[in-house]
Amino acid sequence: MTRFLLRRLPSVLFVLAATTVIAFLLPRLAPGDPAAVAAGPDATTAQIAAVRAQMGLDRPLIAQYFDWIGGLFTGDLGQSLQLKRPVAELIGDRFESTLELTIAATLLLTLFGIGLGVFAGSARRRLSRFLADATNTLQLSMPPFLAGLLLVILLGVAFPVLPISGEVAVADDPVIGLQYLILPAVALAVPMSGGVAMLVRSSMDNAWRQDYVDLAVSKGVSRRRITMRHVLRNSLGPAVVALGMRFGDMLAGAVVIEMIFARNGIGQLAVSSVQNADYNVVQVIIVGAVLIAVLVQLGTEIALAALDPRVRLGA
Amino acid sequence: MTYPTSPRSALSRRSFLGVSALGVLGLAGCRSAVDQAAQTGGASATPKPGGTLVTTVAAEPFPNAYFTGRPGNIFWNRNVLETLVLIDEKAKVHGLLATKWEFRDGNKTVVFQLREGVKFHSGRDFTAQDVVFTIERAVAGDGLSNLVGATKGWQATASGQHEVTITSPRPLQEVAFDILDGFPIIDQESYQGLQDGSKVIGTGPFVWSSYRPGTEITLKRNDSYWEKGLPYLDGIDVTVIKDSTAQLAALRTGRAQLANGLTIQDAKTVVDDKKFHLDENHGLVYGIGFDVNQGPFTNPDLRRAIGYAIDRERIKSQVFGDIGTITSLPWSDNAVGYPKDLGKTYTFDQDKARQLIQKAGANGVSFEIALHALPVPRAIYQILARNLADVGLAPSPLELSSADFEPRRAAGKLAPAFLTWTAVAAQPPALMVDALAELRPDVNTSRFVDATYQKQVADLIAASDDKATAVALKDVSQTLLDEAFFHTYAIVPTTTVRADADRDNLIGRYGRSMRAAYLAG
Repeated sequence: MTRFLLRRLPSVLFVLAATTVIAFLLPRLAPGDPAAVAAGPDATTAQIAAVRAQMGLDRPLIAQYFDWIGGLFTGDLGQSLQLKRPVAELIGDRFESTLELTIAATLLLTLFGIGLGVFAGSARRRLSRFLADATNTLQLSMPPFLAGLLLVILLGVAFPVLPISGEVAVADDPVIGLQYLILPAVALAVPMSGGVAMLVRSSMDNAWRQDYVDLAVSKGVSRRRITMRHVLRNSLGPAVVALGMRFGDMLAGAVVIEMIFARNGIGQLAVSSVQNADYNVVQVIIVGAVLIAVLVQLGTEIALAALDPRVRLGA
Repeated sequence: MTYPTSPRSALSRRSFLGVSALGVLGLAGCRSAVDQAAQTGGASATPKPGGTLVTTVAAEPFPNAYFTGRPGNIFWNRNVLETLVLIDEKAKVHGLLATKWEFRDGNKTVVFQLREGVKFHSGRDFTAQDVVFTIERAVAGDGLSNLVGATKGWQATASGQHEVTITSPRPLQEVAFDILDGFPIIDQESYQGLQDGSKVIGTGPFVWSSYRPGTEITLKRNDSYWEKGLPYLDGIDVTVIKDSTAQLAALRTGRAQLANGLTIQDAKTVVDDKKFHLDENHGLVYGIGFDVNQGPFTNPDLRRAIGYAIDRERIKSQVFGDIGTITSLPWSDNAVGYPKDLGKTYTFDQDKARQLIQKAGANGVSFEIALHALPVPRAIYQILARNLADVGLAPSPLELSSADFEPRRAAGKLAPAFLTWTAVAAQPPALMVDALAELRPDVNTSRFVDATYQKQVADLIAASDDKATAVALKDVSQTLLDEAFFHTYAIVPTTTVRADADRDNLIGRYGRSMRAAYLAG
């Protein structure tokens, strides 16, 4: 595996380097002036120019870029143009919220996705298959924002059993914190688990037709043992790839869920930074998102190799 | 081949019951976050001590904008920092850190006696030097003050330990209180901490306790507040919730008791005058302006035509929920010398609009209208576009983000027409002609430069008494209406939704629910 990672290193570095250039230029190409946002409405051009000079945005772009890159190498992610705080502090402040939501949603996504897929792939009775199909269709047709709003209305307003606004860190108070986390995590994960479930079911249907399963059946092995030991393990490969791909969708979906449930995660920071033309924050978040995507991709390949010995890393 | 079904292939009944029992026990033993959030409940008609008020705002607080009215600052600014005077909802001036004042020298000097026994949160005594320092910083443009033009030439001196004298080259009687109501007194030893919110020291009833930039501010009771027995509350939390649905959810679930930033339509979905009330505050001047240097609005007849084409009643009804005042002038009707006969100059008269368009030779002319990419301006545009199409014009929208709109507005480089909304309502006209970018005499959004208008504005600013103010205001108003480079169509209050479930008197000092201290519990 070390050789695999070392072989991947140059391409990863190249992707990150290209990303820094795109992340730097993209916000600046969009219309909008962070100095005007900071100076406020009714500011004069002279006031806006003064604010722009304070922000250092009147310097040449090349100088701004290399200053920023130099800071990245030393761990200085820059300062927010609008909030006047280190970008690292702003992200760090929200990291816990996003991490909690992502971990909880990933666990639920795995549980529901694989669980429903196994159920659908193992079901023999017509009613069971119908229920599996119906649940899957419902999941696929419901985007996270709709699931979130329905949960807010149902379990927050009509029958208030769980909180629908705000957050408490799980580390600070696990009992209360988990209650704040349940609905956002369910809203984020359950709709996305439909695709994973479909993949697992389809792979299982295919695996059930293989010769090794026929052999196991003819030897009198129980259905449960065949499912767990042979069919499921050989079906999880596509699910792992799908989970990896869904991770990126989840980060995007988290922005909407954070908004609906009034959670202050990195998604909300990204949205408000784009709206306020806070270049320094947007740049770091873009690079961070790409880095996470690259790491998830590497992790997916490693997991796939671990599940299926026929898959060789880097082949 | 058929596959054997094992009796153990389904989840066994015993396992199912076991897992369910664990779940029920788990739930029974848990504390409920919903119950915890609802524990602030209990109506009370009289103030009672204790409790934390939770407020929500739809915009981030910017501590560095302490000399200007940012929406995200409304619930903390006046609770931590205090001004010399405060103007209540009925436009009456109350002393806060000042107890008495006197105008002298043709109203170009005002002397304030300051309250004694006031301390900053750091323990330092408040003196006249702090007022001098604050005025100097405001005049220099610190705190993103947008009244630099109005305070040009101001000098403040400490004429005693608790006496401050402010002099100006222009009369102060019309503008001093409104300006000073916008300049909270800052602590000269720690004011740099306001830049990033790391240290915010004031004299107010609440102390800046913690700050998560862009997210939340926590204020704690100032036990050494100069007014004994106040505040009643233990603390105030200011939470940023940008989404309307999420704000409504916070109100409905009892998480928050005050919410600012909801559109009036969204607010009205909860306001029922029983559980939730709508508080109105000094608000916004909505108008449409024109670039008089680019076609087709070089022609004043066309500009006037649009004034008659706008269905102001429909805008008020459909966009503002019947709240606010429709008018042709940007000043409040209680402004000194308000020309009542001019306030309704532009009525909804499509025939007159068509005649003027015909006279201008502008039938069928097309042009862009720049607007903020936000729900309220969009809704206004839809009505306006219909009105203008009905009289034979062909407008099209140019939606811009705030980050794009504002620099263009400052530079006068918006579209031929543009929709604006500015928080200057209730300001005295002599101040508004500087504060509102569309009315500035020398450089304004419409690029309207006219010697007569400039002189009239200068006379208004220089008016030394009510009579002179009335005369000057009439002249400025007439020019505004005749030249029609900026049409006001509505003055609308900003609103706060207040929960009744907790306490009935969540109203700040002197009836203001924004930029006011929440003293009563």
